Amino acid sequence: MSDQSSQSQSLTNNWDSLQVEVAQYINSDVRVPLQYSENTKPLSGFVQRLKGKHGRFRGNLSGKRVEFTGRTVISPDPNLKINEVAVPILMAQILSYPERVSHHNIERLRQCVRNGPTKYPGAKFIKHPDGTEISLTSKVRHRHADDLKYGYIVCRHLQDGDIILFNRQPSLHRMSIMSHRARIMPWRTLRFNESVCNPYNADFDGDEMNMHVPQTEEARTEALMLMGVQNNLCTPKNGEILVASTQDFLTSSYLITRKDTFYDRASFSLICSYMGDAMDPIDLPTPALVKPVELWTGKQLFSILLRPHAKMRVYVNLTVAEKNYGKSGETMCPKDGFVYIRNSELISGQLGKATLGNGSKDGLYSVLLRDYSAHAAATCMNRLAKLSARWIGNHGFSIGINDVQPGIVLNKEKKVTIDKGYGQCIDYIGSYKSGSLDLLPGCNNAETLEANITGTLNNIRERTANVCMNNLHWRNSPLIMSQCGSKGSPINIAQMVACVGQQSVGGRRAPNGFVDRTLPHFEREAKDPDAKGFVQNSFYTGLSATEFFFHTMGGREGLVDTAVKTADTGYMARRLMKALEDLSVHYDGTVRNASVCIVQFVYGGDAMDPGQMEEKSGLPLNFERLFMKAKATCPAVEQKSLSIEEIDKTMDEIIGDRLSESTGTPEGESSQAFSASSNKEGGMETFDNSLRKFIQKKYPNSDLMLKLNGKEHPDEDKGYLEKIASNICGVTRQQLMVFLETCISRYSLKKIEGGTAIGAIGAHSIGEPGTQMTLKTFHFAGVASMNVTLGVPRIKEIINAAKKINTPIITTALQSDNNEIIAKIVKGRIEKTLLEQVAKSIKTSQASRSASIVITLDMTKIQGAHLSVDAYTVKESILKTKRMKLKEQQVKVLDHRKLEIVMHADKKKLQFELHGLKNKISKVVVKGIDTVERAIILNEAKEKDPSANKKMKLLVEGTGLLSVMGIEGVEGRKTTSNHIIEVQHTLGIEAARKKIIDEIQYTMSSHGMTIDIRHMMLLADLMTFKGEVLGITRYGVQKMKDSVLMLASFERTSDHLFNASAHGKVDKIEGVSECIIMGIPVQIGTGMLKVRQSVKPIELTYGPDPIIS
Amino acid sequence: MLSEEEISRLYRVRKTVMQMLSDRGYLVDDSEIEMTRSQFVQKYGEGMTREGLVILKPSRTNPSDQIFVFFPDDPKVGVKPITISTKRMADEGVRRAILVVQQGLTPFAKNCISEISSKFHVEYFLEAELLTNIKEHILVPQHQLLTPEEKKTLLQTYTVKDTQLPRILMNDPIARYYGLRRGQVVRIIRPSETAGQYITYRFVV
Repeated sequence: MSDQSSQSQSLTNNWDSLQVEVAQYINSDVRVPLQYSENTKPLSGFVQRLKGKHGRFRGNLSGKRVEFTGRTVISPDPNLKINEVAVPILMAQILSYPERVSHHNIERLRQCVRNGPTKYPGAKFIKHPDGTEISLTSKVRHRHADDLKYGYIVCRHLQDGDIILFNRQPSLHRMSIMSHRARIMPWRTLRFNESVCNPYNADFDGDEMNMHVPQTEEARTEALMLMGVQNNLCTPKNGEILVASTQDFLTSSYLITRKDTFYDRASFSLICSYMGDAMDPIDLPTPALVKPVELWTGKQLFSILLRPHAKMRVYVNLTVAEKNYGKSGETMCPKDGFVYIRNSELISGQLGKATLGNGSKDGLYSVLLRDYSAHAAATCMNRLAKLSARWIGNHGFSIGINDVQPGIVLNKEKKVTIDKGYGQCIDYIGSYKSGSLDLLPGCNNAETLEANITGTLNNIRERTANVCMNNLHWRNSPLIMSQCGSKGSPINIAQMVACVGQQSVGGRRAPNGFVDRTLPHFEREAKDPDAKGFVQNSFYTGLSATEFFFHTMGGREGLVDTAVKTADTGYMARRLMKALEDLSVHYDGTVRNASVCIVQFVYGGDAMDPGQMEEKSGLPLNFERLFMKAKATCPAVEQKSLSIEEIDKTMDEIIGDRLSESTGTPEGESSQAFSASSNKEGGMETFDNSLRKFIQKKYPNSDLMLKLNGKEHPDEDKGYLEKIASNICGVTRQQLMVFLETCISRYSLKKIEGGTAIGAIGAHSIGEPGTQMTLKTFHFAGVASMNVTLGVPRIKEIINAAKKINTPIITTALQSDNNEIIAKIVKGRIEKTLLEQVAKSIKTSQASRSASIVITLDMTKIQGAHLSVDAYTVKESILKTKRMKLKEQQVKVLDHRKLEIVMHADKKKLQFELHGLKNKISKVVVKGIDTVERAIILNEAKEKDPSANKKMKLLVEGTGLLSVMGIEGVEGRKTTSNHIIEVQHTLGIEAARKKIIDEIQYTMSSHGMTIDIRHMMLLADLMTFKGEVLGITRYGVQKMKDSVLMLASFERTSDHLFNASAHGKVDKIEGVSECIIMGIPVQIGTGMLKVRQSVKPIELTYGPDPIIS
Repeated sequence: MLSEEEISRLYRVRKTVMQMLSDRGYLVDDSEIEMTRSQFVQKYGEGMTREGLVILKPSRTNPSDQIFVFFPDDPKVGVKPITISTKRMADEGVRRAILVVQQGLTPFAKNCISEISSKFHVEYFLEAELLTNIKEHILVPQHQLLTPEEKKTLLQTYTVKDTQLPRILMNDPIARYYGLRRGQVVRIIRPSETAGQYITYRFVV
């Protein structure tokens, strides 16, 4: 009997341990009863092999290791073209390209074969058409060279001009991997032109980069056409130029185009020869000065750079206001800050970052790119790179200690400013201590003090910085660099020369690390600038011990910030990419996902390519510039300018002609109302209207004519004057036609192409700027005390569709927004008011068996805040409050400002309950919405005229949009919240979509980043197209996508796989992730088209093959 | 007896209800929408009760298709008022009704509504939801219901199934405002920064 039981026991034991073994075989993370868990090394189960970053899915299926790659340190070389990369000879001997032997290359390849794998330019293998592969390490390669035949494939070393892909991690946008041409060079680094640093976000402090060699002609062509540097000068994020001159190139351009640079014939010709490779002819222009010696200006050098010889038909026309432009006078700006290039001649302006650098839309390269070609822009960049590298090498440019030495004036000025500021701060502290500080709206005493002091201290830094900038010598190197925008800001200079300024931790002054003080060097409760981290020394004078410590506090925060941010934004970018990867533009203009669900009917509303938008705000064309160009390139000469009627007529003719021809719809009339074109025509119509509006602005200025007519002029003179007038503001027929022609034809070229992976582009465009944002929250415009979350945390909230957000704010419009008293009344209705805030006293009294609480209301306070609260309403709100357990009889109203609450309970409990109740009672909401924390009145009107026109708004901190909208006196139709989920619940999905766009745009713009609105629209549409707001999180993505493989490669691999196998799910392999996993071409972009041919179905016969008879 | 505050609330609610009925295609006179507060007080007199506000409107196209709007008195509406209302609907041959409730329905009442949904289509709104007309909110674009023919042409031009269109939930505030049913398609005309005007469609699920 006992034998049997022990047997069965051991059986169950074995059974259980088998169960454990099997479970751990599948998933070694499963929790196992303690007795079975062995303390041996943890096994790796199937699940562990699949999941995680290095698991099968993400490590081996979505990303694979490849051959024909290289990686090494990078360094700059301005002598290379922007589309070139110098590959070390050692790498070129390892990497190979399989070239097919033909009539044209046989001799060259023979030589390669003879050279073998160790001598450059050599070859590594020969492949015969029958598939045999011959290694060329042996000595017999001479024979193989002689035997080389057409059709053989020679795996030769990399040579000049081969296409390679060049990449730097983190690959945040598509410009992080671009195709270059190889230049085989000695030494051991990969080198490229500094102009291409920007897209890769590379510097040369030890960065390494990767290169890949495409192995087929098809791959090469595709790489060149789609990924070539020249085809990616602009970022699709907002159409700004990304590949542009940087650093020294800007400095030297700035110095060359100084007004006082002159060169004689010899040096001018020499500098001209720096630009090219002595291949292009150069026409020397007429010297600017002829006598006593022929002298050319530096500006003329740039005219040559743009248009070296007369046969070159590049006529650049542009105006740019540089950083130091004095805001008036245009070309006559005393600081020469207004760049004007007319027909490729630099007329005025010292060139700097705004003209030559990245991140602008009407700089030189942008104009070249839009008006001419990518090639034109690229050659100009090449020329400038060569010129400036050589020129600055001769000229010399360096920083020394004397560049950061402050002058006597500055020192004096600095002392005065600091003393004054400190005095002010001490005054504030004094009035804070005496309690006589004027409170800022929505702030308490301490907050007001902080805000005031911070303001004063920032002011000190700014003023000393200004003095410093004004007193520096014009040859000061840091000053030059900051003026031309190549490196450093005025703040950086001021910190070196004048004053480092306030150090902040978490957006405040240094916190108290010791008891009531920052450091033991200071008195307790010290609030003066020095004790709270104001550094009055400069980096030149050196920081005192405490200042240094405060500076390190700020520095550490920066470091922590960056570390946290990279992880956060990286994950965000990955999620965005996974959610948006399969969205593409189809040929009917719709944006659809992999399972062909429509996300947008027309991409961005107007089907325009965001990468090609020329206007700053994202409109397709910059009419002003095009008009200027048309006028400059077609001089009026003898032609008469048109009158208003004539302009209208010409305009109608051309626009009517061109637009009707481009919108001819082949579809039938019946489908008009719905066809994709109905939306497209909308875009066209807006364009048409904006064009007309622009022309109307350009009507001949009748004022000028009138002025001429008004005065008496002799006839002769009059004709002459009229001509001048028409030259200034008139437009000839030819000019108008050229202008309209360019506008219309260019507009139609800017349509987005079918197949564009617009989802991926959108994900990049939103993910990449995230990495540049700081994690900080900033003050709200207008009200110092109200903070909104901004930066990465806010973007995260929006994208996650978070149910609970950090700073929900309801912007409340008022029905009568010009009356302060009404605003206060409404504020009282909204703001949560607790009983303790309006009660003069809450007293308890206790008798032997009963106790009572007497509440006395503070009527003066209530009336002052315009609340309609009295004892009766308080009683109601007490009874309404949940978990109070009070009956109506217990609450007695004594008079309109006194209440009594009677309690009956056991003697033992009475004491406790009484106090419990007292605490509860004091927290009763007597007025307002209990989800609202507080409300602040904001006067939006300009502060100059305080009484004239007030525009009041309420900012309500908290949730409860619906209740706020319903409050009397609130204009519900204009009241919005920044809480997207709440907007969805109260106003619907469309309102939520609009809010997502608005909020992303607001967050981005408050960090000074412009992103084309079309990307945000796409994201918002994706988040809302299922009817509810889906976050870009594992839960949201799961609802958006059907594919198991895609979900498995995203997150929670095993769950999705188990689930799919249990339910017998089918994956159609149509999305991007799935195709990559399966190794199938992706059905987006060039893979979208399939050649279909109708072939007779092959008849399959079953049974043995018929014997040929 | 209703307080002044409540009368104002009811006035606003009633106005929104009238606008809503008009937007849904019921025959509502302009004077009823434009009614001022004093007129409202005049019409329903001093002893105004919620029950007394009941509205019955015929459809503009089909006069036999009528809708009731009930304003139950209880703050939290139970099954009883619903049965009374449905009885009245049955008596007058009306199939649709809207309940405007103060604080919400009891779970039983919700059950009851879904049970009778085959016979009577009863929707309910909170008073708070009707204080402002969300259709007029600046964030909300114009919605239009498509006829079945229009829907068919739409699906044909884009060669999609209706499930492949963007969606709107049935319990979306706007969908509830228009009383949309599953399977319908709405056209949404948004003002667009890029194109001036942008038309999209959503399928009600």
